[in-house]
Amino acid sequence: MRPRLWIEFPIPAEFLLPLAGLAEIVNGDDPGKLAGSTVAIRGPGHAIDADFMDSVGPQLQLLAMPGTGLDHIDVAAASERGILVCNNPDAPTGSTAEHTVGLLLATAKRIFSGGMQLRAGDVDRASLVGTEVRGRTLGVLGYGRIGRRVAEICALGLNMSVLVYLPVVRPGLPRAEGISFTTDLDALFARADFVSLHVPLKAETRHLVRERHLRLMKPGSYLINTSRGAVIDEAALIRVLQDGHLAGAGLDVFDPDPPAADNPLLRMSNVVATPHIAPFTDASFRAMWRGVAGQVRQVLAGERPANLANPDAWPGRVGQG
Amino acid sequence: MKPRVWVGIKSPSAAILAPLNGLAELSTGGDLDKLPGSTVVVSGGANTTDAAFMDRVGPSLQLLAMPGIGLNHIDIAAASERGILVCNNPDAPTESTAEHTVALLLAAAKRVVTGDMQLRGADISRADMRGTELRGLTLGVLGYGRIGRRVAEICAHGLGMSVLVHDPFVEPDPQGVAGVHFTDDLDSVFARADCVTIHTPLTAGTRHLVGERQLRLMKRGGYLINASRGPVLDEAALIRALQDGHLAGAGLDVFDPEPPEADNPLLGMSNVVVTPHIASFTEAGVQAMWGGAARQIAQVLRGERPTHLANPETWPGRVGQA
Repeated sequence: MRPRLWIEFPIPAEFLLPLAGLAEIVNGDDPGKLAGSTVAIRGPGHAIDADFMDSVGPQLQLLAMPGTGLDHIDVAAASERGILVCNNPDAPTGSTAEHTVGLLLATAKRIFSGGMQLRAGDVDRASLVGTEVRGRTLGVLGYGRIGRRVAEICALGLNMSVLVYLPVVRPGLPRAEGISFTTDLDALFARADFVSLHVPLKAETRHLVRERHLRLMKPGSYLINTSRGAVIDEAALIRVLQDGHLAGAGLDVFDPDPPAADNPLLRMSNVVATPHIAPFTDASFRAMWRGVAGQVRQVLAGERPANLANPDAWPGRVGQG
Repeated sequence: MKPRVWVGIKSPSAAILAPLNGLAELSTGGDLDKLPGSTVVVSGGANTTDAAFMDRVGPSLQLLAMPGIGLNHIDIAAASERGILVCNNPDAPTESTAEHTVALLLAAAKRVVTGDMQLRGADISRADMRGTELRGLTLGVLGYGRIGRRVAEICAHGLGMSVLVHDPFVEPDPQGVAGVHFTDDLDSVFARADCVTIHTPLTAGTRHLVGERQLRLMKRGGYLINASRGPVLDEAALIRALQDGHLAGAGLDVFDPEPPEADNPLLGMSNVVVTPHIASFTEAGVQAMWGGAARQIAQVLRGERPTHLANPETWPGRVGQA
């Protein structure tokens, strides 16, 4: 019997071609087939906890994440059970960084409110005065793959002055012209006209950005988040937008995600909101699923997957069957 | 009596024209009764400024001042014939317009507006929110003036796109810009580019420069961006190419006619990003445009030649005759 690979949501078939012949593929919407699967794939926003793992059963060898974020996976519970966890950290980088800059420019240029007014036939030009970004300061929290690429696009292309926050600045970090580093989080908020979040969600980054930080920002500045909703205290963000301290926000992630229908952010005309689609491009989906297929192939062949997130668990249940 | 400066478009604030205080009487409400006898008229792209209009102002009219760059709404020949100077502010809107262009490109390619509509309750499928990664793709740029050049720079240096420029009036940069290439063949821009952006002025020679044939030369799934002037593009052809799925999306700040009719199909498409001609409309852009207009008006009122005279052959025209 071929091993079963279970995917929670249907994925366009073209992306699954690299997996052809490797396994029996359950492509979405069939919870009845979860039990007995060897590989399980579940997107962000859906917890993969001990109960979920045990409901799959002892055949489960690998939890594969097409993207980067692992915050929805209880990695310790997986390791305890000898279940491997892998992700594809390079695949969403380019698209997520571009989406971030897209949100930044969409808020600064009143793309959404301008479009809405034009479609409604009721344009109030005075409400549409935007911000020129050249020469402005962009604060970037986190300098992983995505933060670095956002910093590059904004420094080299848009000629923004980019200030990156890092808890520790290691010597030799690559740094394009126009990018500087700081270890002072407060200074970043005080100096930036735009702040963009690019840290993974962990216990120590939950609500990393609080009301105090947002109030340090200059009146009329902007916040962008394409990382994880819970990195920012969303209630605080709503308050600083409602009282006009911030001019706008561009958000691809929420807390909870997807946002509740009555989330006030979805009723603000100075907020550009997208439904966690930053990495959802042809190029990045191809890269993600090529990466998933490669690592599934490795695990089924008894090899260690290329991006193993819990190396302590290796080899776990692999090869035991 | 002080000369009258008649402002036919809504100015963003009174303070922005403060440099003229003491020099002129300002008429800012667009009050047509005050038009005859004015010395300077400030006009925008939506006001046709033809011979009849100039004669309505009368022989006192010395200067037509345009805060922005486009002069397609002004009959310059008629102005020159009458000795009326025309000035614009070609540098002022460059950066904001270029940034807005890139914003439209990213918003279209990343389904930013589509996604936002979906989150706010519109019935849009996930497949319709699948976007395009731009790095490594080819951007065609029509027109390599100030704005086209800056867009090329942002997209080549920042987004890592390969840029292909067509401009029959501009020599390729001798030292070259990394990632920017030139072609003198308009068709090959459309055949090779994944995204095309238009940055030509509107003249008799550029009206419907981009038509059905050019759009059909583009690869299926391409994007068209226009922040120049609506009539440079055959809008009906664009609508067809979007409706039958040949193009994946468009980003438009300008229309034909402008403002667009309420039933313009472009306004109903979720894969089209539209803005109401606000590309240059930022705090910095507005300050530069109106500050530049005020400075040139002051120059003319003092009998000096304005910095950006669009019809130099007319100088000094009616200035200093009074």
